[in-house]
Amino acid sequence: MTFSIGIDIGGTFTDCVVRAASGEVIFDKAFTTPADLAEGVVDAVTNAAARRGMTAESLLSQTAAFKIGTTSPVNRLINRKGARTGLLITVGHEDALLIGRVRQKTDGLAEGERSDIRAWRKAEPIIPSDLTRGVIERVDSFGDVVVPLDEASTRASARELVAAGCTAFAVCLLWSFLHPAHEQRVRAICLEEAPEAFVTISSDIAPLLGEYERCATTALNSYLGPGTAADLRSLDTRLKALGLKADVLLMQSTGGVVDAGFAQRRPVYMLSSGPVGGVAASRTMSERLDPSIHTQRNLIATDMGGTSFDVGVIADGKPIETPVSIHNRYRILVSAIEVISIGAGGGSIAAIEPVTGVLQVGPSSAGSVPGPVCYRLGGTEPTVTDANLVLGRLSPDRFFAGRHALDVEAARAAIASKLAAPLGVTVEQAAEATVRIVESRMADLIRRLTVERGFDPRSFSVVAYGGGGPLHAGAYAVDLGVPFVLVPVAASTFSAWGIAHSPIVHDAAISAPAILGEEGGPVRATFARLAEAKSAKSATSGNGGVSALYVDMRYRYQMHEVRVPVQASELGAPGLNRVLMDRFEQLYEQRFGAGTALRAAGVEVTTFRHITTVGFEWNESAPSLDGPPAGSATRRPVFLDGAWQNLPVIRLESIPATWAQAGPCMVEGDLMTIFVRDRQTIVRLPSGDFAITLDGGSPSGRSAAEDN
Amino acid sequence: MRTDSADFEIFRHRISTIADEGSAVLAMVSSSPVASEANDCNVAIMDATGAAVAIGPGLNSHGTACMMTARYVASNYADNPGFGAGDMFIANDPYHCSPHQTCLAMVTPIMWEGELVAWVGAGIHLSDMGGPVPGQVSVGAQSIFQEALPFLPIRIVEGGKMRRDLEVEVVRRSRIPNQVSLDLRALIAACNRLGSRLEELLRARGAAVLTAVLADTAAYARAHLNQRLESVPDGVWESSVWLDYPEADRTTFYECRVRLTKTAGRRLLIDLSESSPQAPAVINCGEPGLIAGVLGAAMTTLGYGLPLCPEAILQVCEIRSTPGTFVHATWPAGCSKATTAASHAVREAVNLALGKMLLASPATETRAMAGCGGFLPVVDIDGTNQRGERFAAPLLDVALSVGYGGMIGKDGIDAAGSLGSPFASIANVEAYEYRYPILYLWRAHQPDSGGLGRYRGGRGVRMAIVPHRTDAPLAMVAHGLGTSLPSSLGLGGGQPGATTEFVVRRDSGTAEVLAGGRIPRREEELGGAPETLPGLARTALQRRDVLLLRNNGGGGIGDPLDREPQDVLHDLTIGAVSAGSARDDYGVVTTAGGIDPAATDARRTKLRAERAAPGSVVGDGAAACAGCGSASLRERTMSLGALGQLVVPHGAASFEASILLCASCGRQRDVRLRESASSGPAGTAR
Repeated sequence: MTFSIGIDIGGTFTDCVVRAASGEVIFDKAFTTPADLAEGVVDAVTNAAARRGMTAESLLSQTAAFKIGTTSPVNRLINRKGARTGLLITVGHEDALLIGRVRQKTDGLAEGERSDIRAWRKAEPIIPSDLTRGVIERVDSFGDVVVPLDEASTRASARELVAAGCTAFAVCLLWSFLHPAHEQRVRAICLEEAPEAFVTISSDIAPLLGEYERCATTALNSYLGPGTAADLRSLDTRLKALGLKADVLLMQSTGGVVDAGFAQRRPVYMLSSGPVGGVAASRTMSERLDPSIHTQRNLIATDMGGTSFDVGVIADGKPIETPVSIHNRYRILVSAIEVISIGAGGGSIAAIEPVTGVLQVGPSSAGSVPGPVCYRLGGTEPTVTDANLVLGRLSPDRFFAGRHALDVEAARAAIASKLAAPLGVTVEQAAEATVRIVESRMADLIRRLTVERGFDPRSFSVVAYGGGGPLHAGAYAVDLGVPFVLVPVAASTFSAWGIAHSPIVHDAAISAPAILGEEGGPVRATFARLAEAKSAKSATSGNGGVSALYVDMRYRYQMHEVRVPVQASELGAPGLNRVLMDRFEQLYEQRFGAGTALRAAGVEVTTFRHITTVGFEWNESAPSLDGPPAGSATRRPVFLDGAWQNLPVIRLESIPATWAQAGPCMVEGDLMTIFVRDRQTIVRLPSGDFAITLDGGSPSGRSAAEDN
Repeated sequence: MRTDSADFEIFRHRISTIADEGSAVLAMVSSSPVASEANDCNVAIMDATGAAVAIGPGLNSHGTACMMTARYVASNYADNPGFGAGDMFIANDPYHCSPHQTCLAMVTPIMWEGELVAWVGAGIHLSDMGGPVPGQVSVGAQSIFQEALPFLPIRIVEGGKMRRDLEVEVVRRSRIPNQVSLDLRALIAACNRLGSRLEELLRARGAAVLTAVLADTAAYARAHLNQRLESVPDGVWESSVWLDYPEADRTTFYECRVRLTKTAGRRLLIDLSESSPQAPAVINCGEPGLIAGVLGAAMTTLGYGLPLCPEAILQVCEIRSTPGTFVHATWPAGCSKATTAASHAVREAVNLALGKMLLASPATETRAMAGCGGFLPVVDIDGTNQRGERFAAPLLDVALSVGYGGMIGKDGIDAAGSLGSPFASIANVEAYEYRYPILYLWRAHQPDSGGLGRYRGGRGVRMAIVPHRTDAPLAMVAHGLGTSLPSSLGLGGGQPGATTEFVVRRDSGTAEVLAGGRIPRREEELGGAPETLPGLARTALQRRDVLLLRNNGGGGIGDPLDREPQDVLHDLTIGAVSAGSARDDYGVVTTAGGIDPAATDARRTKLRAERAAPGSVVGDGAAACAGCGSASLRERTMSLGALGQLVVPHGAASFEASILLCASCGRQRDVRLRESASSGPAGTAR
């Protein structure tokens, strides 16, 4: 028997999903160990192995693929535990990283801070000005050398930085993506002065126009490089000592994995890998969905945890990506699966706003410590979880598989005194209002990634995972008008599940800005250049796989681009530029409305992308699901739409492979609760996952079709 | 509250999400660099009377423009031409609608079941809307007839369709017709998006709920504003900001004077009626610019953490002004530069007056902010680029990288940009070098540019630009007021930030230096004769010239001698202040090992003693000194140039600084600008 393993290191838990060649999937968790993340990983593997009666050693020795999403780089950034890094940048532009295009002061601010001037501030610099040196050299916008590189002064600067204790260097020269020779020479000089140093040059990590973002990407990469490499080595040593023979593969922000040797050279590609796992999982899920679900290629991935609610979107089978992501106020040029978040989780605190007496939920959160009042760990402020408990939507004795009893009376008392009394309503009304507010916030967030981008949610399904997703999705789905909610059976460890199933992805991008005429231009040559660079870089992970090409396009003088797909076969065909312009305008009008296109304004191409995906064979057989016969439902009172109703509660483990149930009802498992509302029907899909059909949606699964 | 508590919280947030969405569409479709980089565009959701209840996160003056335009249409066009679903009106008239002619505002009524239930609108800044001079500033104009011609609302979209004849009419006047065309589409797309989202809400809950939520949103924000005003004492606070307008051979000074009265009724009276008479053209603002200026200050300073609701501010503030003054200009006084002139002066002066009020209570003092970034200097260049194409471009990085003012407990942000547009960005150097035939020798923080204070002002930026791969001269309009007088003033005894400076080094020989393998780092390393430009200048940049730009730092807050010596040491390390300033302005003595505490104490005592020596007691009346409790004040005057290392008042010999000191302990309590008794020949005050 061989296995593949997916690990997701989160803030509280490290999740482990193990897939056997037989198709069997097991999962478990362990506490994350911040001091040495490898420890928590081994614990999680040990727990999961034990579920199958194995030891970690025997499981690992039979593992063919070990894939992991790690928070090591992001933790190092947040805690400013990076290497002492020197910055070498074109002279006269030494402040580019500090000025941060001005917008650094508000980049990544949470909604509530946007109008609060005291919350605006630039990043705490990862490279202070006294470790920054100007490099005498200059290249212009044609890639032509205006001033050659002054090697002597550059070497002197590198020596000073080594003497100042730098173990890493970031090199960012103006226009280097058109003329990388200067940066390559500076790297060589740095390595001559400090052979062990970690050096990143911007024309390697992000050969894209825009010196601030390119410099931030380069600087962060070097700052995080040595520490991340050490963490990965430590993990690799531990796993190899336990018998792992396979390479460790690292989850990237792109939604794919790469081998550890490659990953440790570019830690910035791991900064968003955590939240991306669930979106990657949704993408994988979309590939094996029953085609009778007509929205199978369009999914809204929603993850509700203890402190935040994260959303990603898959349109036509592809996750929506963002060319830039923001980390700790820095803009990073890593094309990543886009995930947006708000502070709306089970721990979000409900409170009466003192001036106006309005009920508000969040953004402050009780987190997992002290947590909601009902945890009895010291929390005193009512939270969303407390409201759910009071409404009967969570079971007090089945939470965390019964490992942690919840105190309903304490939750009631807190809601009564802090919310219901000041509002002059009943405890249940206050609790239901709390839940309604948080659910509408979630719908508003989803609108940002869908309607704002020109997607109609009515042609999407919601995927609900994380601790709270399956409990609330039935409400925000109605608000958005989506026809289906999908609840993965592994919802509580869905990111790890996604990582276990992620393909190897190699991406390369390069800027070659130009105004597109009817003929000629840089399109063919640039894609050819990218293909060359790609094959040189990814040699370690083998070749083959499926390639996708994109070019970012815009009207002249616009700042925002539209990503336009290109078929490799089109590159050789005549009329290429016209084809691209037509496709650009079609996508443009889809997003901004008919009549917004205006070709007379001129069309520009900016960035070219080449993405290669090496997938895994998908020969997972349907899991065995024949448990005890259905009908083991009990009933309990649940407060819904202003009244107590006695709803059926079905044990998830008791649900057979073919099954459907009309709402309202509750489905409870060890680690999750699904709330199916009135005019909704839940069915079990052939994959073992669940689908909730909303009123107006068409039949979604085999069994539902049979029922109808 | 007219709505249920949970409904209100849900729909209030939905409305602000809709405004954000409309703003995002506007910025993404626009091709105007001013809109997409500076975020100089915005949307508004208004009630049926045109009251602006929600605006997006862009520059707030566009919200005012939408409100004024909707009200103009409602009051004047109801019968002819009338308005209904799918009609959109566009305007740029600076007396009734928009802050100035280069800002277009578009509004559309939202009809439901035959009734008008709301308005939505969008506004955007364009680089050129015609007139005799390229760009927004009609240098030399003597009335609005020598500026871009304004138009009152035109029904450019009828029943959902843009009228081609009217589109051509609007586009035809501009030097950049394609950009205007694309931006008209951006405005329409934004209005459509706002409209369809509101209609979803109307379909779900009906007109009564929408109307109630809009009213409740304003009431919610107003309740918070009232509560904040309750925590400051009643009183009167005054401030002045001076605008230096260089015309032909002389500079005229205009005073924006604010008298802020806070009454027990939890209301503010903002009286600007004693401001200077209007100029013939260029620097004035009409009523839209005046209201936008007041809102710009009050929304940031008082409205922190609240929904972006102009209506709530207007319900709390009464604005008083005199028609015919430069902050409330009347036809035909030109207003082409209003947003970075009179309207900006209003915002700065109101911000300072509000700051003084907030400093009067410990509960609110951390909300006071010193002056921000002066008048936002801009350089417009046009000519032929390195690919042989015509271009016309504002270099916005110099405007949008000014420093913010200090706040209690928080230094001003370095290179922070426009206070009214917190999500604005400057373009990368590479983006400008790609579009325009120029090379940046440097773009860096300017040492010593932050106003001195216990919490210093943010640093501004210095930059040096040479023409590159172009033989033709580049036509250039530099417009940055605040070259003669500091325009980002200090608060609570803090001092103003650096003045703006535009210098051209003619025939600098920089190309030869570069060809020799060297890159100049400082002005002193450049050849050629420096020519300091006035704050409003039309000139040409020749192939061998270097353009040097320095923008304003923010004002400081509190007496600089109270600044923590460790903070001064940090500033020295990062190069934010020079050794001279640390020693002479901050009184900090350092050794190789760090601060010398004893020598620093001694130096500060000596500097305080020097201050207190001359000057007369000007009486009591102020709040107690935070240092010693005395309310007695002593006045000292000094030249403007003594206010900071980089306060270089070109051609303002007639002004001086009046420093109010605590008569007992010598702490600086207030720093003001005023005309001295003997007026110099170079300037005239209106």
